[in-house]
Amino acid sequence: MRPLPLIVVGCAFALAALMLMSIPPQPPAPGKPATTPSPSEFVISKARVFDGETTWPRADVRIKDGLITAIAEQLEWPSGLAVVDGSGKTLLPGLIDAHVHSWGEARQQMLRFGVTTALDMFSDPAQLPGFRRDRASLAATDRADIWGAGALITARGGHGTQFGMALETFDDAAQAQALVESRIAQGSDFIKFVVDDGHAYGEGHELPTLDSTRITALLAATRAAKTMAVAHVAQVDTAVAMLRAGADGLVHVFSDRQANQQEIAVMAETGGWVIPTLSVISGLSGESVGPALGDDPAIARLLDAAQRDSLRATYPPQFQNAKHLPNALANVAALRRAGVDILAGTDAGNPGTAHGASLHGELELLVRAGLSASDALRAATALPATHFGLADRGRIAVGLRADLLLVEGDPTTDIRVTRQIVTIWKNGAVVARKPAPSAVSNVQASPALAAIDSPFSGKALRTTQGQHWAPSIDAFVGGKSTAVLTLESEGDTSFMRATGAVATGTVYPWAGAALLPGDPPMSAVDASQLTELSFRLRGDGRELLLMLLTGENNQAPAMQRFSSTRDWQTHRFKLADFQGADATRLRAIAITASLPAGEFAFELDDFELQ
Amino acid sequence: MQKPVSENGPALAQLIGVSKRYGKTLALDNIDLAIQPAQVVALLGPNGAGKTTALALLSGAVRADSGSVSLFGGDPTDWRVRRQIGVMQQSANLPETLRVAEHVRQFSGYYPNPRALDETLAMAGISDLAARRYDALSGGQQRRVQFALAICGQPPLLFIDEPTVGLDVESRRAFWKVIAGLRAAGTSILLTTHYIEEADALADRIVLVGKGRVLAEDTPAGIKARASGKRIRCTSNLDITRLAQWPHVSSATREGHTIELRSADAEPLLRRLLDADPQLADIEVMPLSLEEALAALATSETITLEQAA
Amino acid sequence: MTSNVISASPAWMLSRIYWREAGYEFLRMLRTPAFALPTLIFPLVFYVMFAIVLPGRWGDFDKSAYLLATYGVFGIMGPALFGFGVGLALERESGWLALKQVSPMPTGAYFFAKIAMSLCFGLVVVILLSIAAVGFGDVEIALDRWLLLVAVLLLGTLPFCAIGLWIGTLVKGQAAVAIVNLVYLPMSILSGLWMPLFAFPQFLQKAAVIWPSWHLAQLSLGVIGQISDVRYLLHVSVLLLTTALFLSLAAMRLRGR
Repeated sequence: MRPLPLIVVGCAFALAALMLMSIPPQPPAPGKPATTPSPSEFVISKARVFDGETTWPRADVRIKDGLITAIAEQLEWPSGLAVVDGSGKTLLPGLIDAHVHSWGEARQQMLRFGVTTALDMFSDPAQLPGFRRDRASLAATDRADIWGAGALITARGGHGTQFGMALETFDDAAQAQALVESRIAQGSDFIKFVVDDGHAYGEGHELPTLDSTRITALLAATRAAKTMAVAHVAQVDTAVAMLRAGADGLVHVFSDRQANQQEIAVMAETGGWVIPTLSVISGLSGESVGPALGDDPAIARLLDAAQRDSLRATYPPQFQNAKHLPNALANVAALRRAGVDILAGTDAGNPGTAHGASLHGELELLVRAGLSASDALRAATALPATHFGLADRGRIAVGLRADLLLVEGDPTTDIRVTRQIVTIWKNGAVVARKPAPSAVSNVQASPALAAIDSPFSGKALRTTQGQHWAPSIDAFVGGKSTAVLTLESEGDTSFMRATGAVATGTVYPWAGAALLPGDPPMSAVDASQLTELSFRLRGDGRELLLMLLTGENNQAPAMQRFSSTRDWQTHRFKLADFQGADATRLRAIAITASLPAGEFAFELDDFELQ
Repeated sequence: MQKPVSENGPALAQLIGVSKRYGKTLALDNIDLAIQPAQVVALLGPNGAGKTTALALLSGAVRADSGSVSLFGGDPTDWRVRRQIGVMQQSANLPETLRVAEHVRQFSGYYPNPRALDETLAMAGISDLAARRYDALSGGQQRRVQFALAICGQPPLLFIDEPTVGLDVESRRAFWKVIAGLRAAGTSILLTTHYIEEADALADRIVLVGKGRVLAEDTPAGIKARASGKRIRCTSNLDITRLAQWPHVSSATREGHTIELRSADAEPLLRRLLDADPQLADIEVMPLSLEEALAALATSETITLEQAA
Repeated sequence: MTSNVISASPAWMLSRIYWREAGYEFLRMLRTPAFALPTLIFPLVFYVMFAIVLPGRWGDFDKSAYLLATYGVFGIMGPALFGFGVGLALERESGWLALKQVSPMPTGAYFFAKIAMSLCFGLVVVILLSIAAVGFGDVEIALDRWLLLVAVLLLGTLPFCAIGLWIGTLVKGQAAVAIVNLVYLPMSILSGLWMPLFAFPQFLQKAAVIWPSWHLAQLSLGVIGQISDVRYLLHVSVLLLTTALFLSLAAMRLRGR
């Protein structure tokens, strides 16, 4: 049977060839969503294209394996290739939020709103290696890429230390080089430092901050390490000084007053850039744009409950001043006229903002400040990419990453069109925009809470109304702090004593006592009719935190700091002062010790909430 | 190409000038064989004589190296031609988990006009085993099932290879009865055996094969007659070593007072014996048994062939 | 006795022989616990263990749905490899095949029977897995997708029938059991059928392309939407060529004797 050996050989060769062809370029990543497959090669055709710098009235863009392979007014492509019809729509590069603070679900929230990349200006440095890994990959993903500063550099007790995060502060100019190297070793992509003495927020606000000796040393160190240095400022004078000293840019616009022409000119000459963060400045000004964003239907349907809460949250009144926004808008206009590059950043994570959604609000604010819509779009695409060296994104050009946003209409004439999102691509794959599960849950009204008082005169650690006090520790986030609550008496008074130790090992260690007003414990109650919280406390001199856990289960607590004293002292707080707290859903009230690690002890009596 | 036609009609199956080699061994050497209708042919010979090969060629299991193989005028390797034959091989293990009746039904389905199931089972003597699984049968019972598969299609020609090996006398006789019945009904049977008794009892024709050749072909009586020669028994004091050297004597043995001589030419030997021993007594002259006749035939044929070569 | 019997082979009679042959083949395999139990139960048991009972998430993968496709491939391979590989080897050894060769059974009926038996067992396994997946694994799959998956898996049985056939021609008897196991289990694991390949080192991930089971798994996963960018034509071609290659190899061995 002659033909048989021929068939065998022929089949064997053909098989070998096909097998070589089928070697996968890269394995499917676990992050892939199990929905309808996204084609790896496709064309977006007939859309208006804003490529990061200019607008093409009509263009075809071809994408393959996560990268842009061609862009031209008219392309030819083989039949059978998937085509997205962009008629009547505009294609933008994926948006870049130049100032965020990322934790929890932030990256996923950002991507859902078309923000494909963000620059994090302060968050847990442990996230940095993950950020670096993820942004190098072209695999389909459900979250935005981040470049991060890691931990900021600030003075002891200065802005940035109030969040309870372990932070190595910059106390001595001699530390500068070691500090910079330590940040870089942690994975910081650039150095962010804080120069803010609190005066911008009004009389009586005082914050320790870096002096010029330290700043000079720091900027020398960053230059030596060839890394960017970006500055948090709040005042005109500081802004001018920092840019002249060599900071690469400012991550807030100064809003204490309007800069004069000379000051603007000096800043323009330095070549530095500015991220105005008008979104949070609007909140500081008492006219937060957050609620309006939350009401916009194009945005509202994709917000989860935590984001909705965050948009409605406000700064405490003592920080608000109506001058901030008008000053900021005027300063932005002046800077732009002088040729300073404006980058769009929201400072999202803060009250009045929501990741991703707020960038659309920021773009609208930039236009309100006088930028053209195209300028605003540039501020969220090519400009941050250029200034921060994000080589593979920020523009629609051959060889760049296929992070793209397709919107209905023309955002170059009406900036609000950026919210009319049709499709988002990240790494060349369509991003599912399903809202987070909690977005569609009905939040039932919580039972109303009547006033509470807790004199600790009984036999148990309970309020008069029967609610329990319980030790509050960080074990469930993996911490090793300890706390023990006992009922003590001295003479004819009795009180609760909390003792224990705060252990390092987590970012936000804590230990102390918590009151759980709801039944079952940790369920929400409506405390909106109550206004004031007071108690007497005697302790070891430590600084303690008074925390309100409200809203969603995983929402960060709102807190106030106070110092314990060795004698009994009465402390009073107004509930309204707890920024970001949702009094209609109060789950717990906690008095805890945080860093520095070590033993703590305090005694509590006559706790009242009314 | 000759088609030998006997009084029974044209040959159902035949090998003409067929040779088959397995490696170095020449299993069949230019052999001719024909099976007529309604006839039992026994292929007789020692192991390795080529009997099974002849059967394999005729039933389509292997192809000949040279010569022609014809089955009902067609090629036995064509399954449609094989509808007219049933085969019982020397050893075959059927699938163990099927029942006897299922096996027979499956095979019956291959044939256009099969026997009724009960009839087949009865003929094979396994009626009471119909529902039994094959692996629950004894060796002998399994052989009967294989026989049932051979006959279930009512084919006009059966090939049966060493059918009664390992059977007891009673079973063997019962089998012979069935064969006789089939032949009476008009079935031709080609069976191979190394039991001379069996060939003698069953066959219309015996084909003696040895070393891949047909050594002789005749009815049992004819074979016996062809192996010309007689047995002479007598009581005598003659020295058998001297007797063995006499020209007409092919073998001489003594049992006490009795000597037994075999001779192809009995008459001159008798005269010489009577001359040699006046006391010769109890003379018996008998024909050779089939075994002796075949042995004689084999030996003489071999001698003839050797001489011819 | 004439030769008119030769020409009389009506189509109905032929198809009856084929179906009867298939029926008996299925029946005898079903009655063989050493074949039926592992073939039907192992894939189901392992699927329940790995996909449903054992905890663990793989990112956003829908583990139960993903493993339904890959265990489906595992499940159809068994009857094909064992039915042909071991079946043929045992039948050659026992002389059963020799008897069939001199019977009036059409050669095609033998192969049809074995293929039909493999498909039947394969279908049962896939249905069992699907019940487990949908009933206990919270897998949601549209009916038309599921039917497409079944079709792909059943058609994908053929290359493994061919491989089994070739193995059956290599050795006789019980040796085939060892060889089939040596092929079946490693091939399944290295094709990523038991767990996806991203858990394996890069070299093995790339080497997976030599296994026909990997190609069939890609087709199955693509059909139910678990992975994207599936090159259907490529994988189908590989499977077809594999079938042709091993059929030819087997034919060469069978004709040779």
